[in-house]
Amino acid sequence: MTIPSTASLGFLPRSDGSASFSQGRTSVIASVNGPMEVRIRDELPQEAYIEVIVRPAIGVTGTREKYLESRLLSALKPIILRSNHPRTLIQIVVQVVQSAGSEDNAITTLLLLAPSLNAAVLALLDAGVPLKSVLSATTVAFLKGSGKLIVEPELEDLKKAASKHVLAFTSAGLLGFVESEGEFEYEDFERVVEAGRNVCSAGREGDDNDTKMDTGGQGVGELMRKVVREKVEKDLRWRA
Amino acid sequence: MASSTTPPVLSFPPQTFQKLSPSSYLLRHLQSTPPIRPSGRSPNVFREPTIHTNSLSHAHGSAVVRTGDTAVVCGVRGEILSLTNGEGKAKGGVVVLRSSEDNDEGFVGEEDGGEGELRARSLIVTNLELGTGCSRDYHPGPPSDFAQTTTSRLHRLLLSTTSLISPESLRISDTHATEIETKAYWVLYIDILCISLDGNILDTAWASVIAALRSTRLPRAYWDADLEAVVCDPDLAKYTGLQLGQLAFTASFAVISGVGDDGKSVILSDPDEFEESVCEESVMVCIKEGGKIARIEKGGGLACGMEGLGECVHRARNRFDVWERLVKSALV
Amino acid sequence: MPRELEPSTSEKTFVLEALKQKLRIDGRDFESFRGLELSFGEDYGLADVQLGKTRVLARVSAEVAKPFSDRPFDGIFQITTELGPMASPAFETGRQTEQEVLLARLIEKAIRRSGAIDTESLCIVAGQKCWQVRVDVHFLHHDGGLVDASCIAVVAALQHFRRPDVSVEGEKIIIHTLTERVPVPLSILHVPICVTYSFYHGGEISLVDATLQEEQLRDGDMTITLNKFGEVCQIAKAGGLPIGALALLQCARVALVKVQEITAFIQKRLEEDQTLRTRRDNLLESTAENPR
Repeated sequence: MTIPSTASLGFLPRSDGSASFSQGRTSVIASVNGPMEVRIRDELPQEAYIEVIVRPAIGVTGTREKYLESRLLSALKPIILRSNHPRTLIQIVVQVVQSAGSEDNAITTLLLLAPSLNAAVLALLDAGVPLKSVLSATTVAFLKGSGKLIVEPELEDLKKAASKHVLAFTSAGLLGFVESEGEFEYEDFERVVEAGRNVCSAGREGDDNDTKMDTGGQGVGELMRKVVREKVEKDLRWRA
Repeated sequence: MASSTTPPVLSFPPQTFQKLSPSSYLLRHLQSTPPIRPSGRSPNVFREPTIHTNSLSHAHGSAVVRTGDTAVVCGVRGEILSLTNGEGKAKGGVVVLRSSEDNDEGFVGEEDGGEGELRARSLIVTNLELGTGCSRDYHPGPPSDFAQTTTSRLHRLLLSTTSLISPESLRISDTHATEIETKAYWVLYIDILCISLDGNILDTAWASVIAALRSTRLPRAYWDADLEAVVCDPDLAKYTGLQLGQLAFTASFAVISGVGDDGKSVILSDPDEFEESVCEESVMVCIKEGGKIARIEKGGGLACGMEGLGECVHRARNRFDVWERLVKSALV
Repeated sequence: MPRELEPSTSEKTFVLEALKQKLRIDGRDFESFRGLELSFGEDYGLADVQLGKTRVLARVSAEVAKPFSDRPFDGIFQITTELGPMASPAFETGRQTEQEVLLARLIEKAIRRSGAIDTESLCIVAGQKCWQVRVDVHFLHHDGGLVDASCIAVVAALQHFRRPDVSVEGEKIIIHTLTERVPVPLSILHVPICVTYSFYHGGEISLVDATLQEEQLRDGDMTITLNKFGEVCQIAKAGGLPIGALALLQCARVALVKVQEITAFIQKRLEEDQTLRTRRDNLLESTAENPR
């Protein structure tokens, strides 16, 4: 049974937008500032310059953080409406608070991708940065032998998995980000993508809402929607 | 009679058009039938690669790989890491071991392909150097973000995606003792220099790493109990190659959308520098022996869906065969 | 990167006038700290401190390393404080501002140089292997009082942290996992707490724990670090308004009271966290299943 994910919005007063996302034993905080003043060398004449900074829980930034930054940038750049704010900077900072497992290896890095992406998207929503669509990300493990899929696996499941996948979908179900590793066939990959899509797309009104999950909890897309809805309700409570 | 006052039609040579409006330039090319890229290739055609091995005399293994105008040199050098501090009997050796549930000595077993041991002792050090004048974007000095990210990708591919090198092949043990004990390790320094860059550094750099590792021959090293040190046999005939895992090769693609009136997307295999600068969306597929997929990376856009990925996997599998043939013939 | 916005002239006049009339903007008296919140993470050694709106995280980690050649019997203890753009857009990554340097030096003197941790207890094999304890301080939000908040976060995290147990067998050191043997707390000799004073109106008015706005308007500042026994660990008064020696002593006296309160608060929180953990561990261990 996996620990349910939690998220919260808007708790850092000075950042334009902030969010936290915890999944299992991984917990990250993201803050967004912008559109704001940009360094001359980064200024782009027709669009905003997007910068992603990842700070590790322990130690100083190294190649692992640079790698995470480049992956997060590739996922976030297409969804932000950059041409709305030319010659500005939108800065996204992700601070890892707690990371599952203490070793620095490929698995712990993989586990950081989905929560960081979700936190960054929530922070962008909190900051009111114009977005083309909303991405939600999840991790899926494909076990060897049984061929069973585990959505949002724990560290132990990932160690035994034949392949591990991080996928991000828009609310319309378009595939925005893939990072898959292991040894698998294309048919297995299709199954993984379907499972991920079910979890990430929010349930629409009038659906049967029978997303099959071992935990019985809500999917990532649902969770993100709920968190944003609560914040909007709280912000507009002055309306009778 | 109306005097025509239409302004003179401006015409540019293609290179000017390319500089003024790069994305339209690329889209126009792809809209023609059959779709063609500015370099003259079709969208599904990769550049023909060439490999030369063992060109560097001071490295234990090396390879030069060329894919079109992208050329990469990779050198592998082995050095000995002694587990004990100091030398001789005077300073005692202290070995640090981590205890785990299964055994009271050593690391987590074969489940992680030995990655734990390789990482904990840093037995493989990869470095990609782009500041060699290969492209006007990269200058000498500390590695840029792109160089660091690419090094990280190659390192990840080497250690976890393919588990190419097993730690056993790097251990130097004392075989004459009653209990086989690892006294030292070989540390492999893999240096990759890009001498010319025309897009898609990853595929070429990765192929050069594979070819260099396959051509690597390390001297026979053993533990001399009398000297209490590691000794290498200088006899060239006794040099042995590394025990390597299965072959794996990567294939990178760029995706551009908005081609034609219906705005469909086109997948370009093996993008060159111009295409990389125009296309934001990219896909990378790594294929292992037997057609199994080892890694898929996609990001930068929303145009490529499952059908696109399926196409990429298909093309990557064909590309694997090309690389496999080339590596096997180069190392014969 | 945008610079920190300076307070407007009307803000400045208002705040300073209010101080003359013994009023602070948030209604505190001159010698109170803001509300202090302290929570710990699931991992050992993670402390989250909220001092008013300022939020600081401290993370302690340990690994085995070779000791310095000139100190073979001591372990290594490092504190990193990196101000990032999350705390305030005025901070840039990679470039050390003067504020960052001063902050790092203060924390270093207060905690490391005052000997809060017994580094000799970190030695495993003299001259060859020792524990390297590292504290990373992350600043999530800057509303003044960074020094005070980070000091509390670091000492709380150090007291909370447990390192893996080691056993030495001849020439082998075996590091046991956290589940195999109970992890060991660090040997803490004393708990230093920093109190920062801000001075206004030529030294007539001194405040404890200034908010960002008050910090920007002050004429001078001083940070004094004490432990609950009244021992002064360090005093930092780097330039600014000159302060009389008697005023300094008075500040120290007031600071002692505050330090004792805060130390007791940290202790209470640590104990609460401990009971929570033992309860949770007992719950996990007691199951009705038979081992098969």
